[in-house]
Amino acid sequence: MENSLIFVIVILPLIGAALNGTVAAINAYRKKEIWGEKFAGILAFSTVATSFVLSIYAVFVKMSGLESISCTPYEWVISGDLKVSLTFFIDHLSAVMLLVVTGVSAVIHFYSIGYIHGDESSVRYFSYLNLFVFAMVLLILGDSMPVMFVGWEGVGLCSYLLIGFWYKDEEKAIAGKKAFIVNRIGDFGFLLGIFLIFANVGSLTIAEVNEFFHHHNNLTPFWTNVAAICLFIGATGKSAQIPLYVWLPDAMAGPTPVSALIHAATMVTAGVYMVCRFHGLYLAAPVAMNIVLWIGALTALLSATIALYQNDIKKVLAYSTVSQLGFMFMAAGAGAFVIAIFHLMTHAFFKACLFLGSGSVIHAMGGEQDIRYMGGLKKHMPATYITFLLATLAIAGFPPFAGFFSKDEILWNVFASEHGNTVVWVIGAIAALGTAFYMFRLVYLTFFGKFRGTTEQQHHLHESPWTMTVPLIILGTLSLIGGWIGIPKLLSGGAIPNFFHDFLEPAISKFGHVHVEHYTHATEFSLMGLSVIIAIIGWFLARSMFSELKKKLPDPNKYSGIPKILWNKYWVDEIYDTIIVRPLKYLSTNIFLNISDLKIIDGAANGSATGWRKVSSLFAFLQTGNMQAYGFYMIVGIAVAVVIATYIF
Amino acid sequence: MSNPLTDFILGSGGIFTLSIVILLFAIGSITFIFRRTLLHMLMAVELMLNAVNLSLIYFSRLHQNHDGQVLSLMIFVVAACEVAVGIAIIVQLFKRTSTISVEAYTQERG
Repeated sequence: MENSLIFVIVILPLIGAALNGTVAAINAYRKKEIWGEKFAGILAFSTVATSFVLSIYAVFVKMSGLESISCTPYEWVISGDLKVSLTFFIDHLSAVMLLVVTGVSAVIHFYSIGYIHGDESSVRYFSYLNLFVFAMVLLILGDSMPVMFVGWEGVGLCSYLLIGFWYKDEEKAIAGKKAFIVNRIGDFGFLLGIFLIFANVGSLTIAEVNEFFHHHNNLTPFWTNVAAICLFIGATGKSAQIPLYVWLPDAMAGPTPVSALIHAATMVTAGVYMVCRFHGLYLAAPVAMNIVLWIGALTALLSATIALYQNDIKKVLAYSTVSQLGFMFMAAGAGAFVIAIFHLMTHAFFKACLFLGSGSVIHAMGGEQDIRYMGGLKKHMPATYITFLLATLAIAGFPPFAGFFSKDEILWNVFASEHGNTVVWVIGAIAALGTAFYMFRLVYLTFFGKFRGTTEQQHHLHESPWTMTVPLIILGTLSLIGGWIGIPKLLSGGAIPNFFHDFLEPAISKFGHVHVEHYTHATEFSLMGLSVIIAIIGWFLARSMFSELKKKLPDPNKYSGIPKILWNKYWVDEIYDTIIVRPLKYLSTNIFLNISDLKIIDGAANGSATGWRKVSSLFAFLQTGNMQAYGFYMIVGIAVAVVIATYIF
Repeated sequence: MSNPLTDFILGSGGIFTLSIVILLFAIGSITFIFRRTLLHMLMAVELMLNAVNLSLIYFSRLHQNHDGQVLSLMIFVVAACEVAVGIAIIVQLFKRTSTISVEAYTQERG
């Protein structure tokens, strides 16, 4: 098998998951543990870390000079003309994703060893986490739509398992269920898109699909757009965009490293990756591109405004994630797929860092997540504070932090690209302002001022163990320097090559070119300056309002006007509940359960049972209870059968 | 290698052996139906099984292949198991009700 190295990258996390899963199951039934959380954590971490190292080797050594490498360990389906092979495929696009996912996963696995310490089912936790990495790598490297879909479903399953990890708390179990069901709606759209493409293109391989839509698209524009929109519905589910974003804030019920890994850095970006993967199709579908652009922009704005008034540290970060994903879709919708992936990468660094930092804070606060009861944590946990601040500067878009380069390029492309427009640019800029504001509000309320919790919590405050701070430092550093591989030509004047762009461009520009309007350098610089000014305004506003709290923060239930709307998240959950969930429940109980299930289906089953009972009671007299009579029947029966067999056949 | 008995058995066109088979099977089945004692009934079952075994061996010899003989060995094993279980059940029944007459056990009446 050629390039069997890729197969090893994929299979290692699965082996870890299988081992830890088996042991977790056995441990649950026996008093004596086969191995405990420590070994489970090290095993899980080492499988993912090995995958990461091998990925680096595969990408930079094996793939150097080549366009792509692939490996086919197994022919999955062979049926007539249809052939689906389990092929793993690394090109420049999946290479970036692979490195980001395995790298961030390795760091977060390491953090988890410290975070999950003391939990009774930590072995189970590590097995789920490893299974997630396996599914995610499958999603990234699958070269055909079915393989990608298996990974797509697999990450959804792991997300469900990990959100409801503490399933004894009913609220968390419900959050897991919500995530799963909302994702199913998106997956249905994705599946329809796959069917539509397969029926018209006749191929399941993604490269061939792109090729088809780029070179010999004989599909009408209408159906091309429908196919692209169907796929995008899948992306709105997985990547938490309007209208299916509601599950992500609830998903914060899971352990914090899970929020960092799955619901910030990797899984939720799968939708962005998928859209970029199918860029040949999307470039052939301008209406769908426009929808992607607008949905991204509106989601970015909507969730950035909701985040302004949230008090739960993880909820703020969750809405921030939704908003940043909106930015990525804006970039994809503007045709700047390279920039979408670039922001995906930088976002993975700083958002994972923010979530892990919040986990460290929650750890120190003894489970408290409400920022109204925090404050002044700066001196108690310096490492957490500094890394959190670095990541905040990055997400707010201060130069030279990672987020600046990616976010600025998104806004620039939305402004200048043929697929973008100025209205969307304004929306994006407002969302960026909101981002800077709510992030610094979070920083000031958490780390500055006086401590507002109980005295008991105050005595408990401590810096987290080194297993948790080392990942924070790694990710904090990456939040600072991670953007430097993609410095735009404009800033460096061509002195520093834009490594990221040069690396990714060949894979992306193969199927169509996006025209970006040429403006003078002065325009570009002034827009860039504007995004810096936006970040500074956001910071300044937050500082003046929250750095020294004059009075207690108001009770959210007494809000009125706009704050009330934002605190209640525009009542989107309530609206969905009224117009979708309740009618469905009514329909299920009164029609599907009471009529079709109980009356028709059960009625048929029970009716046939009573019918046969009546028929059989006619023959019951043959059962005399005398065993020898039965023997007699048998011999007579056999004799008759023999006679029939001999004389009739 | 010629043996008068073998010659007779095979040479008679199977009449001799098959007669024995039928006789044994008939004795077994009649005993099973008419004897009231469970132990006798069990023995009758064994008799029928052995009748079948004999026919298998005869046909195996007739067709010059060993499949039938192998099958008969398997039937021996099954029969042995059946006897072990059957006798154990009968002993338990006797301990509980002090009788092994089949007329005492009519709980299966429909």
